[in-house]
Amino acid sequence: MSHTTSRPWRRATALAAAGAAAALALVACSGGSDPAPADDGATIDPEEVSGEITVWSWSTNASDLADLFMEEYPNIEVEMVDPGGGTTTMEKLLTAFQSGSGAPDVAMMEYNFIPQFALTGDIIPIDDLGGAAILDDYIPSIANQLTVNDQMYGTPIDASPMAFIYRADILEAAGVEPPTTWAEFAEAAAALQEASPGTYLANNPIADGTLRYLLWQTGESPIEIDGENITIAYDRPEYQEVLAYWQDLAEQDLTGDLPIWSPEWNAAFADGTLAGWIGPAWAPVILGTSAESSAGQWRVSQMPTWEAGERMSAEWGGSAYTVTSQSDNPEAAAAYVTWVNHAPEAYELLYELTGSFPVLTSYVEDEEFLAEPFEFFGGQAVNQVFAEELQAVPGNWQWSPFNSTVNQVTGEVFTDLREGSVTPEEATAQIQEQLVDYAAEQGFTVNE
Amino acid sequence: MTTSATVDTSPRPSARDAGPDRRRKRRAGWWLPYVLIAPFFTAFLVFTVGPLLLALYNSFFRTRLIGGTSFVWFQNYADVFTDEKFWEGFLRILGYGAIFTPLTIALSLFLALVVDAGVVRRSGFYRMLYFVPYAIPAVVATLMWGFLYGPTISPLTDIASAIGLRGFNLLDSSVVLFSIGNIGIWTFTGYNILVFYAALRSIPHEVYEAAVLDGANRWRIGWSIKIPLIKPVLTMVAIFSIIGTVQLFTEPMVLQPLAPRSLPANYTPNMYAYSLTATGQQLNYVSALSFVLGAIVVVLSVIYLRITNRREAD
Amino acid sequence: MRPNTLGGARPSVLATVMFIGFALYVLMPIYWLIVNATKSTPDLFATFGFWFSDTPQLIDNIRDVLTHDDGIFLRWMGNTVWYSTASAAGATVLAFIAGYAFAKWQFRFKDALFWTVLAAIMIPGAALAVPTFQLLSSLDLINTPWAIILPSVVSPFGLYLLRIYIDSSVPDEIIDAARIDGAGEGRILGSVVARIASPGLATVFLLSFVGTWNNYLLPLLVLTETRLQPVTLGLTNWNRQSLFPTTGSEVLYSLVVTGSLLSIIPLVIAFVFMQRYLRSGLTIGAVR
Repeated sequence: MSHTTSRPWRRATALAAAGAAAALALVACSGGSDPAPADDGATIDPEEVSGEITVWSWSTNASDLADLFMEEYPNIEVEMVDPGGGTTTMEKLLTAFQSGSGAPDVAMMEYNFIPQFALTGDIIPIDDLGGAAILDDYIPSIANQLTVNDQMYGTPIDASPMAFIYRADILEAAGVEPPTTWAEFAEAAAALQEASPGTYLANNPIADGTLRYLLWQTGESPIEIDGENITIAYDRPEYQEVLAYWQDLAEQDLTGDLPIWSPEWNAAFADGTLAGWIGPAWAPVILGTSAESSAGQWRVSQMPTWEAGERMSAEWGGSAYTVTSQSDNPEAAAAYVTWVNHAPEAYELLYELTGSFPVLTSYVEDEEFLAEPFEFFGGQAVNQVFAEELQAVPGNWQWSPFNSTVNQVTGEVFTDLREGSVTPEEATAQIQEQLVDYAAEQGFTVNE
Repeated sequence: MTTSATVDTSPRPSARDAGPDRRRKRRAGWWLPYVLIAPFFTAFLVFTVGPLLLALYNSFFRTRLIGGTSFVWFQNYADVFTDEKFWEGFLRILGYGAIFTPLTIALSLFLALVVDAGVVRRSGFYRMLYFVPYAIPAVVATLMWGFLYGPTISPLTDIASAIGLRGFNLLDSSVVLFSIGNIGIWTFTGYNILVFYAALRSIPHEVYEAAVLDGANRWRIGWSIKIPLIKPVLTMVAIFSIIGTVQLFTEPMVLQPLAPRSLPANYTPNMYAYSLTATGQQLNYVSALSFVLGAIVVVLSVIYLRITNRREAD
Repeated sequence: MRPNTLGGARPSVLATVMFIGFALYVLMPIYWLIVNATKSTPDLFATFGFWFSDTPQLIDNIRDVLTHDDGIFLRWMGNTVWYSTASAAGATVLAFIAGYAFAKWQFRFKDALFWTVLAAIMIPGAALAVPTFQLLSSLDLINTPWAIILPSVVSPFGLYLLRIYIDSSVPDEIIDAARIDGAGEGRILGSVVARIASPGLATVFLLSFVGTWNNYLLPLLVLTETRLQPVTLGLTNWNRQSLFPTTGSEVLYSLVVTGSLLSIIPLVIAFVFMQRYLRSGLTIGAVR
């Protein structure tokens, strides 16, 4: 991807500001005060920061970005460390945090871990370190994921809006149109099975652990953090509807039943067993390899929704750079964090190298970016679709501060659901109960 | 040693001459053994005992997201005893150990006895070949077997379908434990064969001659003579197998992403502990859990030793 | 050693068939590895597992493995050899001199110390993760090779093995005689005992070497950057990146398969070569 001309910041900033204000209003809880904007209003002056910082990042070619940064900030020495992939990095960070030593100045982490480390104090807010000035430049739903208790805890690297990615040739041969609503999806799945048995419109999210994104899509957040209070609302009819829908499709054998990312799942794309994926913007990275043989046949269309005519999506992953509390030089660390995910030259380099989906509103609205054709998708300008989906992501979703517990609990309950030993209502009730108990144990005042 | 009528001018006095003088010379400084064991025990104290003590210390506290760390006496230990997930994994391990440890040992012992009986040509080649899996790191071995177990991509499934077997899935929750056990058998049989074979080879020939004269056939010799004579080796192998079994971790861990429904996070106690600490932040609880598990292993080993010693005494 | 047959046994057809069968079982995954190291990642999923694809690309795969990420794979192999050799050497020496003390001396707390060592290895490693990190961090050893080598120098199994071995194969008389000849304790240990115990030493060295080579949890915790990792951890990371992709990762299955094949070759060769030492080294405490 290439972005040539300079971006008109002010127009984009104004648009984003309106959206951001709305999003922040949803997030801000009663009794809290709005954060005072930093006085500088510009990125940190290179003259004012110096020192050595360590950065942990698993992004490919993060060191190129570090080099670029050091050109801009000659007084800062960056040591770039690759801890080895997302999961491994989180394990190492956790170990370092729990031990009280060994953590880097800047840590890359996925959005869903930010509330946890914000509450334990292992990462620090950067509003007053240059963050507040740039928060508004980001897509609201992304900015929201960085915010805990009205404070900003890092800068975002990428976004992963979800859409429906599918094999146009398979659907066409079966006489099926890409669905725009979930009702249409169910019909299309059935039609596809009938026309070519053993072919699935998508893998079942209950089977592969991606159900949380579909819950996100309903527009209701299961968690709301407010200082020492937490509201847990898993036991919702909207969620039960989602669970019931997918369980139903699974029972009728209209969806795939493979563990996600496994060799089998990859193989299913290779041989056409899975004709579609309700997946993220970075899906081509995966599909490009496993579905190499069908490159050019894939297309992207909107994520199906519950109401006809509306657009609702969710975000699958994405990471941020944060500043850790163990850092001896938070100013320099914040300078890195605010520059590398915001400055134009850095952003250009980032997209060239990693192909991630941008989070700066200005980029997302850039016409050239939107019109770029993709060979894997037969020349379709898929950024347009993903950009629309990104704007349609509800901005009120909050990750819990005990991510792994939530994953464990939901994982077990969804397994029971899949095997038919609980109903959707019982499932959400069980999850609710277990999470409420856990939160109480952890010292929260729990509202339901 | 024999003594002759002439004075023995040999510089080596017989052991029977051992007297107080002898012993004093032998103990070249009471401090010598301590010096000898010092390097090992220093490293042991620092790198093994140190973290253990720290973990023990941790087990008496509890950290909460809101409220920080507080001292909670034995609360964590009490929680371990009521933790269903832990006991579920533990019972599974017991069952696994009860089946697979004897199975692996019996298989290796049987093959070693066959080799020792000399009824297979070029047994050396086979022994070398069977040993190769031990040289392969557990992670790599499980990765390989993972590809062989995955229901849709495994060539074994293709073969099974070809002969008419539908629904062939070695990772299904009903059989996954055996699939894991299979990896263990594949890895350790050759190693155990070597250990047993070496032990068998050092049995003196006279023992066999007597038995053959008595008219015993090969099977009887194997059962009644060879096996009892290598009992110490059997015991050692069994103890270390028990320790290894209780700590089962790598194989289910590496297979888990391929079959998340068959292999939940608490599948084995060690996996459970790891998941609690690596992605959760349940440091304190995990410490208590590990000590409970360790204590159980100690008890099991002691019981096992008592039983085998009692049988020997009989 | 006494002859292999007992009164002129003939080779048994049944036994031979059984052994061939078991040999096939042992070879099956290795065969799979060799065949599939020739495939590209898409082919891994698309073709029959026990036979080649139409476009074998072993050389390409090997090249990819060796050049991926600036040739980090070779670095990993080098790291692994270094860590394993150093800790095996250290473990053997430590277990040797301590084992000698336990075998040939009486001293206070002897039994208690020995049982403490055995008991210590019965505690599963997960709880020790953070404390080990804290300990090594306070010694400023995190992210250095010593973080792997030093903890691995403790080999309880080695101590146990050598104690029994020295006890049963080094007669007191030889030590006594050497003393009478005027040899110092160090010389006795280094020349007399070591020579007799050399098969046992070789065994402990080999087992410790393999143990460190295979150790996965310790490096995961104490090495924060990938450059210092041993090869098993490196391969696991590549595998995890394929299994749990996040933004910025790649699907690396064929690298994992080919990398696994390359990584086991040196170890297998070493084993086959050392197997003769292992055989004689394992006659420890065998018969009472």
